[in-house]
Amino acid sequence: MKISSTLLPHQFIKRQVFLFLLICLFLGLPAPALAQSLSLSVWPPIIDVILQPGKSISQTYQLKNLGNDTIIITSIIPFKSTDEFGHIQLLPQQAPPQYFSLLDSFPLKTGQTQNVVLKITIPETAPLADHYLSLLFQANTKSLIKNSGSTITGSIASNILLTISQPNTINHTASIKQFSTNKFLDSLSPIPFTFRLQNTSDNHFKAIGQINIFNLFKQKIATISFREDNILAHSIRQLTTTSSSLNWNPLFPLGKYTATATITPQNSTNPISQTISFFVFPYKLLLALILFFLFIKLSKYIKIF
Amino acid sequence: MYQVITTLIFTIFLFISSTPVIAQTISTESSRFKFTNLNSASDIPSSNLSFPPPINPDQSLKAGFPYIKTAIPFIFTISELSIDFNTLTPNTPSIQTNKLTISNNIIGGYSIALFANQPLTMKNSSITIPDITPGIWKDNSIYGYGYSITNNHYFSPFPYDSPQIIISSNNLNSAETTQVTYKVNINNSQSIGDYENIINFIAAPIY
Repeated sequence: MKISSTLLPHQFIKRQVFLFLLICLFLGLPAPALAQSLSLSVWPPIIDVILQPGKSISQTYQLKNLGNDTIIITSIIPFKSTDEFGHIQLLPQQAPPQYFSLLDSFPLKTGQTQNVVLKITIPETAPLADHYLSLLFQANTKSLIKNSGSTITGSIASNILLTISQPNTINHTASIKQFSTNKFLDSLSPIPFTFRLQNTSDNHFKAIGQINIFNLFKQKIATISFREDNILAHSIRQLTTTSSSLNWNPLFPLGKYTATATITPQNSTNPISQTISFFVFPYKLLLALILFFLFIKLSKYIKIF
Repeated sequence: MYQVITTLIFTIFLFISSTPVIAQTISTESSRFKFTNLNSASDIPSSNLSFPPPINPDQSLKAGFPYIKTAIPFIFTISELSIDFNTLTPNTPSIQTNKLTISNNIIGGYSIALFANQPLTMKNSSITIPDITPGIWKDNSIYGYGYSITNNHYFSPFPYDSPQIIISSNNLNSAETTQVTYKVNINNSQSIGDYENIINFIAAPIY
């Protein structure tokens, strides 16, 4: 080892002792108990497949590990709708149809992205039906419990909407279960609509449509487009917009309006529609003005007596 | 001579005034994910799956939500995977927490479900710590194991048979985080030992 020319021997020894102590300190310390975390990203979050018996199709999923090193276990589990907003309830007791093949498990290091190919093969004899399933990527990350406690694992799902059909057999039909707003609304508040659509057919579809709003003179003054949400077979979904609310936000509406909601089920040429009317009036403002004038009147009255 | 000078000046002016073409590399988190809705590995000839789809397509595969034009992934994060209560002491509740985060919730909704493989069970034994009865849990004389996702001390038992939704959202936030609180309390008659189980959280986007 070369001694620096600027250091005296006793200074050099002091430095070496200091470094030695520092190394001993580091080596003597127990390894820090780093918290293990799980973070997975998946794309696409959903696939919508229409396939004939005897055909097959594939989709590549991109799974990225943003957490600690882990082992991924894949599985496919049927789901059902839990509400009218598109949330799912997994049904692990139900066996999925044997149409799917993909990697069962694979290691995924921190920061690594894995392409996972899902192949869907429909047998010639498969019945024509819809299947709603989730592809689950379960991360089994090592975690340490010293005494008592729970080990946490996590899964991320990507949904599969599968329609098995023969050519020209899909016939999407729907009915409007509810299209409403309040009869009397305030000019200074957003106009909220509720629109619930029922899929009355055996196959899921995307709702494509809008609400057109007309003033007293039957002039179209606004259009609110529905988000193209999937509606499962024989289920109801409350439609919304891409901003997650079905509101009309005009500047200062006044008077009578009519709103016509029109929906064309996907792959259909038969639109369905419903019209409602409502009155918009600045009643909160008027109430405030009345209260204000009453207050002034009362103030004068109190002063006199 | 005059023409040469003029030409030179004009050429220099052109060089100065023209905007240089700079090669740009865009590498964001979302751009690394390519659209794959054209059946890249399909057995069906791509000509049968041309876009836009016909009025009554016999077969197709569409990936992602049609109302989201970029391929932004769905991300689920759990902050801590070891809910370690260390040594349990009778009549002294042990509490641990972790956080569940959903990122890039521009799809407009998700749900998180959970289920446990078993009650907290003593290692190499079938002795268990009972599940908590759903309700407010502040009293140290209440015994069991449960979880809470609220701030009002309302605890629930873990489901075992099938995943149960504990969080669902229709919001359009870039990220939503929920804290989960785990609480266990044993009485004096609980057998001494280490108890453990596995809890699985499942995050699913809306369909």
